[in-house]
Amino acid sequence: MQIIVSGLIFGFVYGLAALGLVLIYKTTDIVNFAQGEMAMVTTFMSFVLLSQLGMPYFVAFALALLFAALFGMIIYHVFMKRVQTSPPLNQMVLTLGLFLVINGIAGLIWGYHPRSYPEAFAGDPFQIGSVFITFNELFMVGLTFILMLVFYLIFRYTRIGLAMRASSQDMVAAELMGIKVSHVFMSAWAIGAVLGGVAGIMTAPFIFLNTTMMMDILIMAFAGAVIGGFISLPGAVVGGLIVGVYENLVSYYIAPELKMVYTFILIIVILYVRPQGILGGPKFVKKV
Amino acid sequence: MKANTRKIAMGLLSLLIVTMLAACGGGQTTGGNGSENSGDQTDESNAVQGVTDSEILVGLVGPQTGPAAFFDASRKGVQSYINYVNENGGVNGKQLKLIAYDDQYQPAKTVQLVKRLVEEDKVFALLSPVGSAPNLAALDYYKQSGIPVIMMGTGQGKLVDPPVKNIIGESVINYGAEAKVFLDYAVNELGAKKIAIAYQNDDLGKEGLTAVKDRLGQYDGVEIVEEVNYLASDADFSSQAQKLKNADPDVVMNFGTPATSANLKKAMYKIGLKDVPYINNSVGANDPNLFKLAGEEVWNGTISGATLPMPEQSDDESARLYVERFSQDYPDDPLIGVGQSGWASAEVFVEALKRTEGELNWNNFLDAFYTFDNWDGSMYVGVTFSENNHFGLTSLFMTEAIDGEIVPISDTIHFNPETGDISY
Amino acid sequence: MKRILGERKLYLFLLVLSMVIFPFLVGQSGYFMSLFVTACIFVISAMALNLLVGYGGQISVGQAGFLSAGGYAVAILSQKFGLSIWLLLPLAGVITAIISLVIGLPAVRLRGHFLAVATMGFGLSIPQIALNWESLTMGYNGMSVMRPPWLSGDLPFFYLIVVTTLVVAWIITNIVKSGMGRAFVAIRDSEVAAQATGINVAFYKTIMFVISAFFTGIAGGLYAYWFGYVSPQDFTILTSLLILGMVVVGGLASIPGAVIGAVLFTVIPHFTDAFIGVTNIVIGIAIILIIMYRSEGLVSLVNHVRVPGKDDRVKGGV
Repeated sequence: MQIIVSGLIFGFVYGLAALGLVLIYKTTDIVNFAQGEMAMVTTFMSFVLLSQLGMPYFVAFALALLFAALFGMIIYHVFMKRVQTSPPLNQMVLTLGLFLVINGIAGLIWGYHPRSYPEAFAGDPFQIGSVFITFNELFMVGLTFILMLVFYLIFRYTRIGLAMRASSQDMVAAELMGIKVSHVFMSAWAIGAVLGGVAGIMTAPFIFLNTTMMMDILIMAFAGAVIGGFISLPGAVVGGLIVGVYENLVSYYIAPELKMVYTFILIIVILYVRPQGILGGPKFVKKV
Repeated sequence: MKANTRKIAMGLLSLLIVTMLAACGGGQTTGGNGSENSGDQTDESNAVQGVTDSEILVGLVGPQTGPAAFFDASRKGVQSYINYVNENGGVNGKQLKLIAYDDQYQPAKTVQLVKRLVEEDKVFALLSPVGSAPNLAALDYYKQSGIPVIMMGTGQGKLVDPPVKNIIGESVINYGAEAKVFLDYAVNELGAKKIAIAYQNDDLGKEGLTAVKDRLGQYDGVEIVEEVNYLASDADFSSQAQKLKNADPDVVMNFGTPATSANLKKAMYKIGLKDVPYINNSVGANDPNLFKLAGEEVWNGTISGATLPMPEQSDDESARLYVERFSQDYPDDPLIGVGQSGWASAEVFVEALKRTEGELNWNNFLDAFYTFDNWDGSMYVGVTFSENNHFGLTSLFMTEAIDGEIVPISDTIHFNPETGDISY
Repeated sequence: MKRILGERKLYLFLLVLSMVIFPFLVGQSGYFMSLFVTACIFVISAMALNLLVGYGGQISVGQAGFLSAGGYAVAILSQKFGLSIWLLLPLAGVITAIISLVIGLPAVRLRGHFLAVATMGFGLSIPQIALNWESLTMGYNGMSVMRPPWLSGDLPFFYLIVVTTLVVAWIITNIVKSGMGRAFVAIRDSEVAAQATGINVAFYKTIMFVISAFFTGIAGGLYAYWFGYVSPQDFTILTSLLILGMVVVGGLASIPGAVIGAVLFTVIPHFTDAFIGVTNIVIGIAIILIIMYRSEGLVSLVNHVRVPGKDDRVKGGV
């Protein structure tokens, strides 16, 4: 039971990171390899605010997310906007370049040693039945839930959401309908960066603040996103949860050292049966 | 069709030209020493390179970026000590110059860069090249070139056992030797019978595990009740902690790195496995930063071993110097174990240079190491070399984490790698 | 026609000549020969990936897995059975090709980013398996690989690698020009249309993976022999991503492009390794600039300009 609960908690982190990936992909058609590094920078910013400027947790949290949004916009404006019309593969490789640059510069600034990062709520774990859980973990789960809901509603029922869906389907047509595609894309990058940042800040207390901390989270987020169908926002979270729980079960019952291998076997099996992912609609048969 | 072939030819040609340009760039710095290559290999005993009247070139390869870049602190420790030595007149009037390259912990790059250091930069010796796999990959080349390789940044046994003339010492105590001492300590001092082991799934963890298993037969009625492993990159340790708890052990031993050790302890603490003695290897425990990573209450009580005193808590002369100089050279870096072992390795290196008799060449330099007999002039508690012992670090003391400090709880313990004897 | 033919011969002659004399130009330096060999290994890998990505339109982020598999195939078979290198190098390719079916078969049904993530998982899994299958691979310690005695010197082996690279380049050029190559391109441009013209899409997609894996496996085998050591640390996800970067930066669906990309990425570290922690930043900046300002890849520069000044331009892109 403990195993499943812990898996779920990590699943929520994967889900959050996957949510950011999916949002950017769904709107702009880009698989963003730099997502994890953007999240890492955001987490470091919050750390600087927290520990060097001594701000209270939630102020630092909010400011860091503001920074993340700005960071996302800058990335879009300086880099991605100029290659908007290039083939998706080019754009993907560009994010790979960003990944290398961001990671390298962060390494020069902050070094490579792990640092401790505070939890949102300190405190001893309490017990429900046979399961130990901390208040911080509950907070994490709740936050993910709320964020997912909010963005789902935005995407579904607001004008900007409509614009996002329209632009993702056909950039030119959307432009012709009077939608400022570049604004839409920019907000997708901003929101994507914020979601990643939240995931980073939530994981930092567990895996310690480090310039390479998001590598594995990102890989698992990719796994979650793909299982969920890559275009479905609830799918991203569901996929993340599946990966989190499955990974923990494998590591308890089979072999912790092979959990990555088993996770990808799961992906291949799921995709073989359902190539569009669990919650991915037929819409994905877009021409790549 | 034809045009296509031509393009390929052009592409390959540009490959060549670019590489040649690169070669020429490198060639200028070596200044036409190319013909000496063959000389080095035939007459190794008196070989010398990288030494001038005013300078000794020292090479180092290690990860400066990427997932293993944590170990770059070792280079900083080396650099910091070299700066100190140079400011105080150098060694026998010669300044030391460190040339360091980034291999990103990829063995192929290590081999390539070691060749660059030896053949292009023509360094006198390699000091503290980092990592197990990278050094293992370069091992053949080390043997073949005869370049002195001093205090490699790992505790992997295969590099120094069986001993090779020009490969001397490791900056971390051998993982196996340490694990054997821990087992002895757990059984004799803590009275443990049921031992649970957690280990990181790499050479660091596995060498520890194997060593404990090898030695287990020497103690009556002592058994391993659980083995769990994890990856260096793991973040979630709940399943491992659960298994350890279910086994109901007398002692938990862990062989890992700082981040994983802290995480495991946290996960154990969370589910209530907090009163069983917990012994952690020195790589994963000798770092006051752990009180921050794991939380002070969680980390308290952790037992470990150390070959180096805790900086800032020790009155050891070189530890004091290290704290002063390292924090001056690298104000943003923590004074943790990795930087310390880099510094201490450089101390061993410089001491050997000073002890070298006659002309400074590879042979005389390497012979100087055999004069180290439990030398305590460096930050290490003791450094010993002999023809059959290239481990270097075979002495350690036990420590315990108490209220934010890592405190020695035993005198120096010696492990004899030739006989396997442990003496307190 | 005659003029072009003459020019082509001249280029090929110059090329072979410079490859032959390269070791002597650098004073048989082990370092520069290793650099050159690394470039050759990545040239083969990038050409093989280009077949998949550039011609076939299938994204793969798992090329490192093929390199590892090829390297381990050589290491294991030479250690356990002492087979000759002539048998082992093609065998490394064949074994890798068989392993690639694990990903090649399901890949038939996948597209775009789904395929990218599935192959990424494959690339990550191979080193994990190598790490844990200790009885076969000796786990974390890695395995050393002995070269046959007559190739123990670096010089003869260097030429073997050069010849292999040339032969692979020649074969891949011919595959691209063959009916199979045209089928790949047809699938890339439209699967539906390809199907309609009677191309067996599933078959060709699988075969694409197999061929790509075969050559990358050989590159992995060469790697194992040259460095004499394989370990699970050799090829990471970063390697896979960089090979993909080489292909795109050099120029998709262009064999010289793959070559240029591979060489560029191998040579950059030579100039940056001495500066602390900047190598990846420089490579990253190169990728960003090239994609932003040369979306066709570097090869588009070579196509426009003839011999004089060609290399200046290539370097100018850095």
